[in-house]
Amino acid sequence: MKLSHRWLARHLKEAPDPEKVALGLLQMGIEVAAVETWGEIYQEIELVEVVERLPHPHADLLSLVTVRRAPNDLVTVVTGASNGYCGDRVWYAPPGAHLPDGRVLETVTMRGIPSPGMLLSAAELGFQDTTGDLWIYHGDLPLGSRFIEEVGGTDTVYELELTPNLAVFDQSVLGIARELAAVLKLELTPLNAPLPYRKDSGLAEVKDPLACPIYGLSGFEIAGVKHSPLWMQVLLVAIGIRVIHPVVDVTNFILWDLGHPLHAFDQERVVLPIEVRKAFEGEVMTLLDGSECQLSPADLVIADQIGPIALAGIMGGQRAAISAQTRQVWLESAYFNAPEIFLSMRTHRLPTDAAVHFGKGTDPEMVPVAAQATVDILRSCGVRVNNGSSTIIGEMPIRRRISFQPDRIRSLLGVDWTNQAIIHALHGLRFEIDGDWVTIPSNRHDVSTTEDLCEEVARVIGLDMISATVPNSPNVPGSRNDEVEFQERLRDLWVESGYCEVVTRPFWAPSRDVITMSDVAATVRIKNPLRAEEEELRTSLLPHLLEVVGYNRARRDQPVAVFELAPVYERTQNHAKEPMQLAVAEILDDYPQYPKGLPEDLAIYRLKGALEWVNRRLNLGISMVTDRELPDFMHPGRSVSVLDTKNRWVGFLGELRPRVASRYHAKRIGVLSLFEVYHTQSAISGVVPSPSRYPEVIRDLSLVVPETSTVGILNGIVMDTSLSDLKSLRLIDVFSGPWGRSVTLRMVFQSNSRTLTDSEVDVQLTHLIEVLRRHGMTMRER
Amino acid sequence: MALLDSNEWQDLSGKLAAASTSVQVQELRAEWIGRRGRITLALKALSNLSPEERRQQGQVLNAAREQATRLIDERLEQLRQQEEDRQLLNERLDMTIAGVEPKVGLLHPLTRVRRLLEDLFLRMGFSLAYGPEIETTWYNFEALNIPENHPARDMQDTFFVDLPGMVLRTHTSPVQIRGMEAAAGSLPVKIIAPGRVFRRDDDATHAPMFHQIEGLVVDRGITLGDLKGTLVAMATELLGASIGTRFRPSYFPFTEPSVEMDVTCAACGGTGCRTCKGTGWVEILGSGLVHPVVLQNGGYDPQEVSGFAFGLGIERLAMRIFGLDDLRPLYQNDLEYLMAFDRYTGRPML
Ligand SMILES: [Zn+2]
Repeated sequence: MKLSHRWLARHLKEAPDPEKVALGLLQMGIEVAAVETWGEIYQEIELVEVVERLPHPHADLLSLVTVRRAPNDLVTVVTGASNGYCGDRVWYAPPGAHLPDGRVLETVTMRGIPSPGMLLSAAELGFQDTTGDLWIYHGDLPLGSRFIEEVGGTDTVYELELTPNLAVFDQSVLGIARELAAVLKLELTPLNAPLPYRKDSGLAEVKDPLACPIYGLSGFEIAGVKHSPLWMQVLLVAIGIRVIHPVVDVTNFILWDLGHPLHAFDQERVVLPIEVRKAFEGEVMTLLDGSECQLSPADLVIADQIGPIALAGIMGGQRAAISAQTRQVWLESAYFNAPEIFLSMRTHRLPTDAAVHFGKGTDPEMVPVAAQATVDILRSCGVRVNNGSSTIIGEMPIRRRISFQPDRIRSLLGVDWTNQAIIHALHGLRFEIDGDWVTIPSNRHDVSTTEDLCEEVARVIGLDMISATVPNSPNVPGSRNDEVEFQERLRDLWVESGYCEVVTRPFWAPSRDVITMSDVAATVRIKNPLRAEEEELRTSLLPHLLEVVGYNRARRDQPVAVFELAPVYERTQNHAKEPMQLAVAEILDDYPQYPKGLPEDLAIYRLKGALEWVNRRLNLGISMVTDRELPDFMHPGRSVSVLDTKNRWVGFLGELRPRVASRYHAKRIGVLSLFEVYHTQSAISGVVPSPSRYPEVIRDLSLVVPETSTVGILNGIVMDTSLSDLKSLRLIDVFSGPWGRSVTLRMVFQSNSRTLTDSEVDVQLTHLIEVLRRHGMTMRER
Repeated sequence: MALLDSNEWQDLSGKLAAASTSVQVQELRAEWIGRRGRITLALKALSNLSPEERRQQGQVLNAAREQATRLIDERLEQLRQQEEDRQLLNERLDMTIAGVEPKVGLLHPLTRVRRLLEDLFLRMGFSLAYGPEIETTWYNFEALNIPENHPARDMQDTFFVDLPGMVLRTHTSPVQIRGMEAAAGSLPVKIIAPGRVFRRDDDATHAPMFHQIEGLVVDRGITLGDLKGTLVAMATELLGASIGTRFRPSYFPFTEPSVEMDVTCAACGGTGCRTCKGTGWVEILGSGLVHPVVLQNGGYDPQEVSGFAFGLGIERLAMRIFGLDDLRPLYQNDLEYLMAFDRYTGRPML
């Protein structure tokens, strides 16, 4: 909402300066989004007098008008205006002046005659007047005066942002003035008296008094209507409202002045009586903006005996709209039930100024006040207003009361303010306190509890006046639960392993699938996605992570090693689950660097090693096996399945098929996808062994193994042989030669109780070699 | 043979100095103190002398032998050193080449800011609480005093899913209700709930998915002053003791009264600039006393207890801490961008 400082001043006996107003607004919780000065362009527009008017030598419709500027300069401009003769005083925009429509004036040549600047019409200045093409000035300002003086000087215009609660009662200049009066301790200018409605019959009927508790209708004959008074035009223009027709302007003015929308109908186009009722099923109305509105019984309408003439509280219809020919009007001033108007507004997507007021709730007591204010303004500007018949239906609601609990207010705010101070603050906002009761002002639909009163008191006295304290609850140490602690540890370990954490949005669509992991039946869909490629929630993290790989790979030739630990979303019938998943992806391709890293052919062992390390560090108890079925996008020779302690399949690790990797601009991509992240964890067990004081004996064993065998099988045999002093076993070489596949193991022997002799170790080795021979594995000849 | 005279000593010193390899020095060792060396032979020849002369000359020769040994050893050590240097210099590396840094990754900046906040609140005695991201409309709206058709539902553009009565939660506030339910009437309730939230919005300062941290304290006698004290302590911990704070009335359906906290603008230090629209202040969180309806929905009696709640955006705080003006790159996952967060950035140390 826009707020004019000049307008505000009409409601305050002594208006504070614009800066103080801004501070008051801040304290009351009204956000000032922007402040601007209105009217600066009018400082360039001068009052001049026509001294000569000649026909244009080359154009019948143009004239050459010479005007006198103060002090005594003459300037001749070309004009197409039909008025503006000697002695007339008019407004002149010299070259360089700005007009409200954004034009900047310059000297133009019209039919061979240069014309420096321009003589102005009212419309060109953004106003309305009826003196003809040019705006003839009849006032007392001396020659050379600027137009800004005519409109009362510049104005400060605030752009306010109102929270929904404030919008209930602060969407008007009066509302803001009342807030400022409370916080800055100012006196308000009294409002005009209410319209003394008669109770004429046959004018209107309210069929739905719940939706429309009060309905006022008053008839006027309007005559001599030409344009609105300049002071009102100025205020409307300053807040960006176009001036159109006095009756429309006045209702706009009252809407923003008192926060009370009014509506005017052309009497000649209304067949009485007017009915306030719910629309019939299938009823249609053409609105003022020309659109067709399909009504339903949820909509409240104002209808005459022919059909609807307005969508109540939102927008008038075209049939009974006022026009330039209108001589007699019905002025509607009503109080509607806010939620119904709000719903209709939302249904029809018509957030008109009237709707955003009625939809938030208006002040019932404004019904006769706003009607009288309209009459007063029209009269004051010389419009002949003849009161006709009028009626008001419905009773003014009784102001609500709640109990006054100053102790509770103090204890909720944590202050020791006196009753008097609290009462004073509430008085400022027009709450009336009578013993144990608070009477709530008729426009404060937002207040119903002591907590609401707390807010009012705090706003008026100021949040700064509440001292900062610490809760006196016993201080217990806070905690993360085990599962979350585990997840954080998991993140740290992958970071320590060289992988960068990424955060992706969980939206997905099948159209993005390169690899398919989703289970259609388990997918949760978004009903109103932002875009088609985000129409469902992911059931797997890996596809997203691969997109990250592709995105980075498309940008530069750098290694990519990323992971994400995040929930995925699954449904079972009408329930949703959000299991955490871990996904890791890494480009294995060689890339130019010095010194060289692991060759790309073996790089998958880095990812596998990272998982093994994480497995050990977190005691996950997972194992990796090659004999389970894998997703079809995985490299059949370079992948493993991941099993938990109960041998359930909980993920897979390996290379993507190169054909799939190429879709992400890489030759080889290593991936890990792990479901059921937390629940794979096995119980913490075992103790850390004490270090042995005795020396190690190291033996390297080079074996030729069958091509069908694996290092895993070899390790298994060695471990199963249970050599008594074997401490560790490490692979130190693998290669293939003409004689087969050679594997070299480094075996470390050590005892906790004595120094091992060579012969003791040899006995154990000989036994091992004998066992290996039975599996077709022999010592390699040197 | 007689005593070594000074010429002979000079001969040895000179030859040692001239020797350029250890082999040459070893030859000199043999010549002088080897089995057939000059001093060795002289010592052997002593056996022909009388005991008195033998004793006398023996002392002299032994001293000479020691001295020769020392000279030879010294020279030998010198040469060894020189040879090693020569050898090592052959292994010379270009030490201006950049080292190989340990290959570690980096946590996402949002994780780092989230943990920073969590740790801070853990120290203040808050425990972590969680709720689902696919949430019922009851927890996301009604329980928080946002009934259907309430204007506030329009404030948060909601993603709806094809599960009856479910939405993607628009804030972490539903965890207020869940947290109170989990506490089951015990006091105090003191939780923070970090998590992802979703709104149908996508531009430089709004993401359809972002992260919030919700805080809730419920106990007997909790006041708005306690809210101020707690949040000022948090801001000071987070942004430094010199940070300025101010509170403004605001509106949230689930708090009453509602307040927003501003902190001094980091870009201008409070003098006013474009970032803060000239005010010198930037909003960092919304808060308020827990609405009685919300306490009731969480199973607590608003006549017995009171509470305060607050919610702050992790992205917004990350933008402040790291000085970002666009949050979209945080989700684009350009590694060059993410790895640029590897250096220490401002206060607090992250
Ligand atoms: Zn600033």
